[in-house]
Amino acid sequence: PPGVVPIDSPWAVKPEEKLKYDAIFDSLSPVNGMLSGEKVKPVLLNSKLPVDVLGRVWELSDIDRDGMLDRDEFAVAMYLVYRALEKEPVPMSLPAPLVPPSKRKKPAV
Amino acid sequence: NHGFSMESPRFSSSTPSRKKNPFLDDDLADVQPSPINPFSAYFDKSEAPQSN
Repeated sequence: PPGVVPIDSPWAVKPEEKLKYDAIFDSLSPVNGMLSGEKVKPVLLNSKLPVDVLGRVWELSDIDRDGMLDRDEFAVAMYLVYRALEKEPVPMSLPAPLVPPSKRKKPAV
Repeated sequence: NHGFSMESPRFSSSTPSRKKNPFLDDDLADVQPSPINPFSAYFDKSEAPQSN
């Protein structure tokens, strides 16, 4: 049905981008595989994007709303910031292809 | 002492997510940019380094 993204559809974050984002993630000393806002914020500030834009990026990438970013959520955040630097607007809600495969829910049947 | 009801959750589930948004959190308003700058390539060409 329309609106349902196949759970195995490709992630918008390409494998080579993910490698780059993972390297940044690891350089920030994640704790238990998670980065706190205190660690992510200083890095995203370097993008020089307005704070309200970065705030939206955070809202979209903290998919499970625990106030932390794991490796996949961080990749979403980085993806959105890089797109914003390319002058693409940050979406108001997370596009389905950007939801990491690890976070996708099986459609209710 | 049974004066307290244990029914209420310790944390309200209606806590706005903004509380956890480091960009909208006053407690983190003074965060300084990190030396880790994965975006520097976007500025190298357009912005001279600030020597002051």
